[in-house]
Amino acid sequence: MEDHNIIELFFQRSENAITETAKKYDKYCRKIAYNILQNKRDTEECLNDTYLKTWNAIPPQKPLNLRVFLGKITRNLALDKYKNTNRLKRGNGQVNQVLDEITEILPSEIRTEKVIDDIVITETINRFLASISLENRTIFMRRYWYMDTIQEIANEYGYSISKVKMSLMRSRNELKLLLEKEGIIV
Amino acid sequence: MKSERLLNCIGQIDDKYIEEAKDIGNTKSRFIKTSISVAACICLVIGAITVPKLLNTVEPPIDIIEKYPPIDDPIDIIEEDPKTDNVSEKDPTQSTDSVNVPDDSTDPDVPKTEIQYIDGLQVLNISKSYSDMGYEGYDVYDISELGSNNPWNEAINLEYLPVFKNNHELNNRHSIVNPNTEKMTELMIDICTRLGLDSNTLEIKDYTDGKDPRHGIELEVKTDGITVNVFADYSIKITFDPAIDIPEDYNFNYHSSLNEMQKAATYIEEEYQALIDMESIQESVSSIGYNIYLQLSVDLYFYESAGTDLDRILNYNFNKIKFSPNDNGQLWIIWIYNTDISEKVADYPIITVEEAINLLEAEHYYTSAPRENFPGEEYIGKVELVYNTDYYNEFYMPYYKLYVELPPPDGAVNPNGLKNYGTYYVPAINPKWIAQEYVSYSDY
Repeated sequence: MEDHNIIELFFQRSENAITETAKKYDKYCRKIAYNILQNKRDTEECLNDTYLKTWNAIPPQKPLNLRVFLGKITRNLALDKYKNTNRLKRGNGQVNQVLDEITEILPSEIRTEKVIDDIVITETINRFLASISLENRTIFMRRYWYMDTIQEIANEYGYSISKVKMSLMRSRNELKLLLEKEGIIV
Repeated sequence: MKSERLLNCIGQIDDKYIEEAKDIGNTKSRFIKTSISVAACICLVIGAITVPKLLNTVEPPIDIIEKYPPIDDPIDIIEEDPKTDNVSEKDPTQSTDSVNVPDDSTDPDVPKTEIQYIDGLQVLNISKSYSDMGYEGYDVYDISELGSNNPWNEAINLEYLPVFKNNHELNNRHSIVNPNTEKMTELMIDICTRLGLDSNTLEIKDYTDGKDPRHGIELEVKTDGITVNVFADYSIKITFDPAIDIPEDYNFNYHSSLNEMQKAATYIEEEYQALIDMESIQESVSSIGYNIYLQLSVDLYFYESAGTDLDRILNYNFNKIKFSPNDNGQLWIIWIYNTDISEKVADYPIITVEEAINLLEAEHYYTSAPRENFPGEEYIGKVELVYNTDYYNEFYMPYYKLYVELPPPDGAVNPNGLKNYGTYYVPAINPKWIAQEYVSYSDY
């Protein structure tokens, strides 16, 4: 079913809206959730929460890209769930490794003379992504948005693991430089 | 700002970037026998490129995949011994015949190029591809942990090696334009036959708008559980969705030990013999070292080992098959590499390993390692001979790949006892036939 028809079902408050959404995007959302949670039960709960949030959000929202709309909700819910269940302490899953990598972007000492809005940070990241090649951008997104393992990325695109790691390292360095230039980190 | 906050901000970026990278694999557990014949569900897409006549006339292949041309005696090279004691200096007395190659193309957009020859051999351009992805380094406790089964070794007395012309034409986004769809279709039909798939028509996908800059036009056959993609550089990707279970006796995993992966290789070789389709199958298990969690990462390849030493070297570099697991230890993706080496430029005299080390010490090499960290010959852990195989190189030529231990600066000790090896590439071709002065560079 086309996205605009699915969205119409939401506007009609039809119970088929969730069914059709799940039929089309369950695999996509499930992969995002499982990459973060690494647990089938939590993944199921996350997906159910995603559909509930989507039901409550549409209307009044009318997303232009339903897939990404759902993906963002799933990712946010999964990260919240991950944080709340303290899995960070147990060192399980990709999130820990991703956070370790992202920590390299941040200076060891942080001065916070001013409060930076998240929107400003996101816009800077958007500009960074626009400035790098499609290849490096895809690798960056698959690692830090979709939380794929480095091996998965390497296998998917036929790269060596070292090539993926090097791309990520270079991208982190460039993002760090841009964030410093913008005064977001010092 | 904490890393979690940055991660959340990454989550809110423009939808277009999320959509751009949206293809995600599936790892549901299920066993599929490769002998099951499944009818493909494909429809022909009539686009800018069509191959209807080919589909109607191609007979089921016996062996469609082209093998590299046999290397004859190098009768086209110079008589005199090109080796000298000092290979780091270009001899200014050597003739540098500059020849204008007639341009047969009627395309006004194709520029005329001036090709140089020295003593009958074409001077070669080197593409700087090694630096584009940053530092190529390996962390291991001992150099032996890298493995590889490279068929080359110093005892093989090869005085000449072939150089091949890359026939792919690229646009400014590094997409292959004007691909040979006839050859791509032949490869697809052959693979489908080996997999036991019935294919009636093919779906042609056009990514030359930049969606996937590596591949441009690609062919796809998609059926229950198996997707086969043939790319413009003739590489083939077979994806199993759901992934295929491997018996529990075998630890087929990204972080298996070298021995465990070699054991898994025996199972995979037997199970997928028809797909591998080689006269004498040679497995090659290699690792790229340990990650920050002290997990060794290993890869599994197979290549054809029948024939001469040179046959094995070329097959190892240009025609190999990679089997990749997913996180659950299932068979997920198979890559088949078919680099087109149908156009040989010539057989070139090559330098020895000793001569390559001399060039390395004279700072004539290509590397992504930090220049100031080059410690000297005593830190060379390993030397291999490899060909560059990236499709955006003008020529496919041999290099000596030297793994050099890079001690931490200021006498610091590496955590966990790991040693870091950077890689240095020295062209195995005598330098007088290399157009560029060697440049050692580093982005770090």
